[in-house]
Amino acid sequence: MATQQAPPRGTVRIEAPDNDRKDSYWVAPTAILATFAVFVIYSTIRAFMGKYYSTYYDGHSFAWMAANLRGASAIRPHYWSPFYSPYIPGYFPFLKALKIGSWPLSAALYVMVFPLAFRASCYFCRKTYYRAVFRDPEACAVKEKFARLNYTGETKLPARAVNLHRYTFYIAVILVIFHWYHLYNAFFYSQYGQTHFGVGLGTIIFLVDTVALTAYTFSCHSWRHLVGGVINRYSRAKSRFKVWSGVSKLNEYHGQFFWISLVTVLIADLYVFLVSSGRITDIRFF
Amino acid sequence: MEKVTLRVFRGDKTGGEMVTYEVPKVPGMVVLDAIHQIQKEQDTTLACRWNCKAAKCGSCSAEIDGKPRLMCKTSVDEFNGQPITVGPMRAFPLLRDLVTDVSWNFKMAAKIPPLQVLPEMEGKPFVLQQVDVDRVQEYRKCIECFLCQDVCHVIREHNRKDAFFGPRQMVRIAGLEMHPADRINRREQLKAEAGVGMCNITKCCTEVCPEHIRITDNAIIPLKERVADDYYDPVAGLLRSIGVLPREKKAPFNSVPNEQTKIAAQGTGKKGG
Amino acid sequence: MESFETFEYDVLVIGSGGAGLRAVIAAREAGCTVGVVCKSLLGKAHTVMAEGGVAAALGNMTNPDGTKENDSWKVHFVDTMKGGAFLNNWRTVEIFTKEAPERVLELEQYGAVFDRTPEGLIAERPFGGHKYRRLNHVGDRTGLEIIRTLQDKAVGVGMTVHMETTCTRLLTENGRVTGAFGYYRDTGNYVVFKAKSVILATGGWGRMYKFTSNSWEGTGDGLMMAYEAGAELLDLEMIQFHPTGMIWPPGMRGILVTEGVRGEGGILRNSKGERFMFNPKYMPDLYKGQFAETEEEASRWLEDKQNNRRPPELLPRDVVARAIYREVQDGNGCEHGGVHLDVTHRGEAYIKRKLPSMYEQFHAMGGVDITKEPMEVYPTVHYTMGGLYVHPETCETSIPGLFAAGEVAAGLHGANRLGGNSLSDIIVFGKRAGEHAAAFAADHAFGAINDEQIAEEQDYLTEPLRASSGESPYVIHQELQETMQTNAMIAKTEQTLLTALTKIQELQQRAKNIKVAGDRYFNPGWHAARDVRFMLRTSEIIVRCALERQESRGAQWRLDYPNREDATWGKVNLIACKNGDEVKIVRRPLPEMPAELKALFEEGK
Repeated sequence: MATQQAPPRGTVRIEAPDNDRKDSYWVAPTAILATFAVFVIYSTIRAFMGKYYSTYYDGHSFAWMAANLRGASAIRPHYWSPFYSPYIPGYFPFLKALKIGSWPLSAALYVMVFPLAFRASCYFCRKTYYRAVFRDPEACAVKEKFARLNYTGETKLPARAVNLHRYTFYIAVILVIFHWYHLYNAFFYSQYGQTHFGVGLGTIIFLVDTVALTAYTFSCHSWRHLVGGVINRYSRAKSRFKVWSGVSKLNEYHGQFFWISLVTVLIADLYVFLVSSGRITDIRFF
Repeated sequence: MEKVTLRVFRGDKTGGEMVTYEVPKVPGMVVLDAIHQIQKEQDTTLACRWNCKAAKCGSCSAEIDGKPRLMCKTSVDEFNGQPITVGPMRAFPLLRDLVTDVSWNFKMAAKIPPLQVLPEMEGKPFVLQQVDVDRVQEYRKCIECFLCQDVCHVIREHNRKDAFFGPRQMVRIAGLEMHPADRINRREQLKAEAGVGMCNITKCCTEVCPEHIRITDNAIIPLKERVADDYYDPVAGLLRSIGVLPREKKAPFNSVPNEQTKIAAQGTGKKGG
Repeated sequence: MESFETFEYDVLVIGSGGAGLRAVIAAREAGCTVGVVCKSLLGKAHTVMAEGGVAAALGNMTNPDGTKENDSWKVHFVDTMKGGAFLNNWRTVEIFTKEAPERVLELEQYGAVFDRTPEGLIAERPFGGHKYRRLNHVGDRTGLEIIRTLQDKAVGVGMTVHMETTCTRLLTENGRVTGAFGYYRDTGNYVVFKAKSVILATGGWGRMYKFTSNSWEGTGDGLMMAYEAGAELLDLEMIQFHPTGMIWPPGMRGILVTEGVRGEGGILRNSKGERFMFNPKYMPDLYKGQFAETEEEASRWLEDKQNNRRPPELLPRDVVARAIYREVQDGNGCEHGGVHLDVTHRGEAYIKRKLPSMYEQFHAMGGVDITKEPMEVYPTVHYTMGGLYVHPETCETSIPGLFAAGEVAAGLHGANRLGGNSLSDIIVFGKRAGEHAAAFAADHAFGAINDEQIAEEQDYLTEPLRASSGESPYVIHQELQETMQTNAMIAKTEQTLLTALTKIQELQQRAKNIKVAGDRYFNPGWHAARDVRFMLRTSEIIVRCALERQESRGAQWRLDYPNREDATWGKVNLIACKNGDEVKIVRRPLPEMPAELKALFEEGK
């Protein structure tokens, strides 16, 4: 017979040699990693700082009132850093006495865990950090550098906790409400002990940030599921179908909103920091 | 005449190498045409799978310049005269050259029972609105090219074929779980053997899908949320147990008899006549 | 004789397209064990190529005035018989039109998700040759939906699937089929399927033509296996040409441009820029007055379908195909030998919305932007109306124990197939074939397997590998395609057919000395060696039948016999069967249609 013996059938695959991706697939995860690093370093510093989170309140008293007694002509815009929102010690004053050693506990530490949890369990964010940080995978069809033998995905703790994303969403909605509250305040400033309506650069920043954060929150996959993703027959739930369709449209841009809101929230906080620490003066439009 | 240079994987389980071929370039040429040209004029033993050559059947899946793609849908023009590297899908056992053994996908598919119609809809024409079927129709665009299975790192890098059915089957289950006429609780299977929790939503399946099904956003994540409803949401669980929320109305998964479709493996038949 | 493995099933189904899978379901529900052999992977059959829809007279659609369209099996019957130029078997068509609606609704129960009407029923679209809106559809991927549905259902009822396995020979004992012999495509090892009954659902054959929408699988091996076993073949000369296949760029040659492009206002132009379909010489008497006569009216039709007649580009497929052919013959062809199909005037946004998959396909695969430039098209081989002679009720062929359904079987479409009828064909007759094969299996024990036949086939298969020198099968295939394309394509004469026949006979001689390199381990060249010999025989029969039928009818267009001869040729089918090494062709009178069915044609008028 002229045929050769056929190779045995097995289950082990062969790496096709020299068929790696030729494009610069490593750029995106590297850039993301750098962005995350900047954000983490900045927010850690700011979270532990415990001051310069408001342009009109210093943690003990409303500074603008004191300023009013000192130099009444100064304009005090009503800006409040999103990192310190809501201001928990404001509702539970005994917390102000808490200290680590001689160091007063920063008010940011009470709240920052919530946006962090929301983002960490966000379906879009998970994709980015699994790719950029855990390299699991770094990019599509790329050999994993630290391929673990016993990959379990999101079936084991702690990764399994991301299934509770809906709860972090509920909290995020509360945070969004506070954002809008702070945005409302940002349309006012104080001078000579009087409160006036006005718009400064910070107001614009807050406006953009609040809209971005709202869009990010309400384009959430869990929210999409809760408003109507669970329904199988939409013709019997017409109003929920409308809401679901709207959220689905938004949801397509969830990733974009994630990045935009991440940057705007950082800028908002930075702006508050710069103004309240006196490094710059708020630019006023009227 | 202008030429196209291809580097094609030639080999089998025992090993292989990239072989360089040059074929004359014709207008509108796709990679599959170039492979056919090699097959016809240079080496008749070059093995590849194909059928429709119109991106409808999903047979000619391969990895082109390292990316899982359909050969029939990849124009040679996009490589600007650079050599094109063509290799087999790397998540499946190699048979020969560009052909891999994809039977695992069919075996997993056989574990998913087809539509089980609700008693009130059984045996008569469905009365459904377009909005009822729109979502399911997206999942049913799948041409089973298995590029998503190939690119999925759970299968490709971690080889967890024991714990995860893969994106293709997630899309399939989504089409049944969200079908307005289905009566089976598919979340049991999703959480257990289908392994929806193995997916870490890194979206490579969506990136490679030639039918542009938004696999992750529209199939896997909604399924994960439904599984979370039943298995991970403590408040919902509590409310269900005290009767505030309705209990699952669908029939349990194991109420479907398993009819055991077999994907016949060679060597399992009787020897001789 | 080399060793082989054996599998035993009550019913063996060869072919895993829609018809095969529907047969699996039926046979399995009748309690049989079922094995199915796929030449490719499961679910990759030609069924996926069907776009338009599945024709069944459900009558779901509503007129503008609120009344239901008056569709019924009777109208569908009349349309199908007329479309087939009365060469159809009336009983086959009757069964078909009566059962199609039920089968379509059954698909829905299996999980098919059709587009819906505002009333919540299955949406139906109009198509050439169908009087009412009758094509139940899912966007432009109805075939995919149907095969996936049947695949899932068949997997659910339980079967054994043999993927990438090619059957090359039916095993017989005393004239009855007892099984099939084949090889695994990947290892080249041999396999025998022993079965009480066998269903052939192997589809059509178009690969012997250069311009074809068929894949490598369309080589007619199922048909030829049955022929070699002694089955009767019916009307093989009837091959349908789709008028608009791509001709340029070469990479896309043969790929279909859906009828939808013309439906959305696509215009056919020759090299002089003339909209030649308005030329009165292309308008058949039958359709005079039913189509727009000026370009103005045709463009008004796009906006107002009620008060204007449709453009002549929407004439039946065979008419348009012939017109394109004539234009090219008369020297009015465009630069690559086709004509232009132009839809650019509809605007980019509209095209992208209405023809998304066409746009995507041409853009991604051919680099052709159909919103900016015309396509160049030419008729392409599309479907084979002829095939195995089967009993209308049972789908049994002339060989006991051998059943056939789908494109490989004949009788339903006559001389020309209406769009959408193929998808309902596979579900109606797939089910019947499955049921009757199961009944046959219940009444019969396993037959004996003839080792001699196996040894003979093994010898035949391995000849090209053992040969020390010889021709490549691809060369022979290419020459066959050239001669069939030039001489036996859309327009034929006695002379061209005789030229083709001589060439085929020469190729048949040369095919005895095929040599392929390599071994049997996934070797496409070796597979092609068997396929090309199947194709040569199929081509020979096609040409001989086309020579025999001295008239023009439906897809058969003889330039030397341009008229339709209802009194003589309209009353006979051509039956081809094996007679030693020769092909025997006989004329068999068509069965007489009963009076009550004849009356339906009067009602419609």
